[in-house]
Amino acid sequence: MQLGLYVHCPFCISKCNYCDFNSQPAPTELRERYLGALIEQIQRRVSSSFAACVAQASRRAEPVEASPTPDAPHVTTVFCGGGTPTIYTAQQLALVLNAVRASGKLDPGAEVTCEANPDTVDADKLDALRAAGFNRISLGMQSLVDAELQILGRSHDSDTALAAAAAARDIFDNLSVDIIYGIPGQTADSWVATLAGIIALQPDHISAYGLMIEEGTPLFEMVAAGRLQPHDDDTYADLYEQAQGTLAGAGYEQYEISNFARPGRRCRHNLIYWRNQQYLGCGAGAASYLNGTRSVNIADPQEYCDALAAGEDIIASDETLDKPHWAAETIMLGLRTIEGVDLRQISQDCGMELETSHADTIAVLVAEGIATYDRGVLRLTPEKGFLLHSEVARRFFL
Amino acid sequence: MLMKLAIPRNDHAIASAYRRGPERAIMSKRRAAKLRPQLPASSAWVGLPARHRGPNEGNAIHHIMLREVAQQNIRTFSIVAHIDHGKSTLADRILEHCHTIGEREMRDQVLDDMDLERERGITIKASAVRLEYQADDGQTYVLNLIDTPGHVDFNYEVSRALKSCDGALLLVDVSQGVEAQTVANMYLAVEAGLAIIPVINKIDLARFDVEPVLEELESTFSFDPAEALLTSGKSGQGVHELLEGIVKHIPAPAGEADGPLQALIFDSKFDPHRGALAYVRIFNGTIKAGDRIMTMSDGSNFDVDEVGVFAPDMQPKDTLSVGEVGYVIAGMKQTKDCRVGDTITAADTPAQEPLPGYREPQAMVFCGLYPSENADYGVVKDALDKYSLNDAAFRYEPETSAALGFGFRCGFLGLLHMEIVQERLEREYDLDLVATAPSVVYRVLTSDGEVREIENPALLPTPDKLEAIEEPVVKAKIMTPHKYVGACMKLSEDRRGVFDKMEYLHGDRVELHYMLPLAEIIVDYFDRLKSATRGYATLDYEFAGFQEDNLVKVDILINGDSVDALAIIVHRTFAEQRGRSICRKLKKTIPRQMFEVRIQAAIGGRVIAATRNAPLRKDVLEKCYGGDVTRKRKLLERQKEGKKRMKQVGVVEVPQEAFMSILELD
Repeated sequence: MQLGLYVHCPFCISKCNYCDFNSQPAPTELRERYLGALIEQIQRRVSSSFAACVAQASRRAEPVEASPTPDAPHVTTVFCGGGTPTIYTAQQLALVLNAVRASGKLDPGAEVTCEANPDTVDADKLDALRAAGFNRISLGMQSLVDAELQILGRSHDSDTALAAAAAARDIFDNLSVDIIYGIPGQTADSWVATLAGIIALQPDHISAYGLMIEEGTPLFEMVAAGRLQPHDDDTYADLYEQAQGTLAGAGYEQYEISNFARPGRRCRHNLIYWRNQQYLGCGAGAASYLNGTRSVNIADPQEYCDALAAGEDIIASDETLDKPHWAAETIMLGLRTIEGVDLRQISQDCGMELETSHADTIAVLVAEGIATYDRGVLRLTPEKGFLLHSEVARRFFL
Repeated sequence: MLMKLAIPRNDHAIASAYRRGPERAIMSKRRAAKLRPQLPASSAWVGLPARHRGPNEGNAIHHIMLREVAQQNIRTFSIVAHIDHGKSTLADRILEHCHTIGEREMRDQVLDDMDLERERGITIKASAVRLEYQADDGQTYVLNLIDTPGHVDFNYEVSRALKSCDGALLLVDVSQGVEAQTVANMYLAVEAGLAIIPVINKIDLARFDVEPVLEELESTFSFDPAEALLTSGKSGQGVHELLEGIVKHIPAPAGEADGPLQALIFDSKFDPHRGALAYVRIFNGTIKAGDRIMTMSDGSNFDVDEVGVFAPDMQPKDTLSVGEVGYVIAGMKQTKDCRVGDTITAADTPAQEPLPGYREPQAMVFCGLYPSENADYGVVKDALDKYSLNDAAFRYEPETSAALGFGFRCGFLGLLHMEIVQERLEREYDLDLVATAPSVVYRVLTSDGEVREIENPALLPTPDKLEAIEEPVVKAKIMTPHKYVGACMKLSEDRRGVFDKMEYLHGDRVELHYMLPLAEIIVDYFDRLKSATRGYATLDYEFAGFQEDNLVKVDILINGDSVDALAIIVHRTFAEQRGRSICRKLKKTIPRQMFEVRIQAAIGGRVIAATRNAPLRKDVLEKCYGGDVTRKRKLLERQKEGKKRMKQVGVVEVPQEAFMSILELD
């Protein structure tokens, strides 16, 4: 039984203008208290057997006796995300990883990723992170154009980002960077410049995200007030196609809507999500998917710490998926990847007749070049399909 | 015709209770409180649960001791006013002054019974209330106030309501002066031969001067300024003087109490328990429970269960005699049994003649009404069945559309009637409806000599099987100040109108007579007329027969499929222009889809206009990782819910607005 482990750091130096994630600047005391709570949850949850994880249905964060069985899960990926995990020192993050390792469940070949912000890491810190056992760094560079970084409200400039990336490249065998397109003010030229600068760093993996302007963010307010002009869908699609072409030319394979990798360097942790496999989330607001149940921890770091300290339930909400919802999620997630989704298998598992009930849809998708269909497997094409993911996925919803 | 069910739009509990059955729905608490006192133990209510039947729970507010007065002490009047000039508020003050209604029950706009009326601030159907007034001469008078609707669709109903009066208050807002609608309604009142009392209202607005309004009344209607009364509906100032004026200036009703019964039905409504109620004014004779009566338009006989008055709620009475205004319940199953304008007489000793002016309600405008979700067909049918009991002018029959599924072709008096019916169906029956663009009825001569009436343009036979198409034309009377004559003529001629004559009325007012195709009027003619004349023109029209013209069916094709619910019939000279306009509208209304959407207008097989929507390029959610899975699934589910309201044409998803939007011209 394989398990992905996600560890959430809900803190950052300053909140970015587009960010609607569970992350806030916070005082040192809270950050330290949170680290302790996080480690405690890891100790309790990861060290418990898989059966005990399931027994967590009682949703009490009580210590559980470790009783390893041959079926016990082993952790094949660890992803430390945020927020900005590297707001903590390498030593502090090492404590987190040590807790995972202490469970005895960490696969020796596990992919162990830490997200980092360029202005929170230098060569020494990156060295220390590698020494602690992290073997993959995901660096949030976002753009190499300072004006765009300012619109995004990033706390770093492009020089800082380039320096951090160069150091990470030297130290880590597996480097991923995040970049963003569709930033107000971004042009085809500035996007090409960012792409070229990123390719020159020779990362193993690139996540190129389309900017989503989410309600409640400063960016949303700026757009609503007319101070920023968002791109229309066609421009957005043009920028996307630009990235696809440029990255393919540089040897990066697109394996998901927003993700490109050199051969063998696809993000194993994220693939767990898209393949609808199991994962455990530790930390405030972190999500788990175990044994058919999705659950989310208490989002507020303070309340999360309090609940854990008091031995109370740390799960804020959960949902056990019935077959139709499981099918909808499996299709929604699978269609994000180049692997596609096996409708025939899902139909078998859920007693559905997707191939028959959606024959018209499938025919249109294939005729329009939006998807391919081969022996039950539906795959969106990178050229026309990926950007229409929602439109296609919805058609398979109830 | 009023259903006294006021179902709050959002109160699904009550609305769905309504679907389960009238006994439960009617008993919203408010209604129950209103109904109970109306039911004396003696009344012939059968088949109702005991709690509905009474006993009278002693709510004194409702149980007013009705006083009988002599015929010469009855005054029946209506209030003629422009919207917003304070008619309903003044009516409320009059009611208060006569202590007809207790403060506990006082709510704004007592006369406007339906939620829809109160919201729109208009009176859709007539209503009536009986008041008792102790005048300064020491005598008691019965005052009947009849409220009237105010739109061309209901001109006939207005004319019957006014016919039931002996006088009218011409109400003018001191801050607004005489306005177009006031003038139009005033002429209807004059035509009905009523005594008019000019009333200047809202005199509590101190900053406005009465003098200019008096002058205007004099110049527009030749009133003696000394005759005008001054009131404030807000403060109640002048209401006493107004009531004295009514007693003094409005004549008592004519007619013979012992003559053959003639009762004019000026409105009707449907009560789920009691059947149809006729609102009547007695012109001759007397009517009482137990009488056998006849409706003179069709000779149907009924036995009277109950007669009574509105005080303001229904209150039974032993008899209704000449000059009185009230209601008759006589086992009439639906409002079609007591049609507005019909005369009730005694079955055994009928009057020789009905009262003049009866007209069959005529459906002039048709549209398709479809459930938003196909599964709701039964629910819609049920609602139409119930609603039609209440609206004698509304008709419907099942039809099927390839694009919209199973639904109904519905007939209305006019566009406003159509809108109101749709809105009431959606509100009072909690329905979600898709409406197609309105159309008129066409008379078609086929090549094998058959004459057919076509209410749905999609059903027009193909050109090879068509000999001729006739369309309904109306005689339209447009009343307008002289300076807008040019604008009115241009608009009418643009709409294929044929000029008949122009008459000069007093002041600077002119009446234009046109023959116009009805189909041209239903496409925003009235709105354009209003805007071309700053609201001063009034429009009245009556059906004048069918006329052949060069008409063609324009089909609308989406990705090559003809969409039945979008077909229209137009004059050939307008076909291309309308076709282009519809294509443009649809291009805007139909969202971009995964593939190109081609929109075409065609006559026969010939494309006369075309446009396209380029394929959608982007519809994607970014960053779907662990914690986001549930949120994103739910987001897509919500989007899917929204899309479910779209109708499927082939593989193209067409929003419901598209079916109505083709009506609007550019």
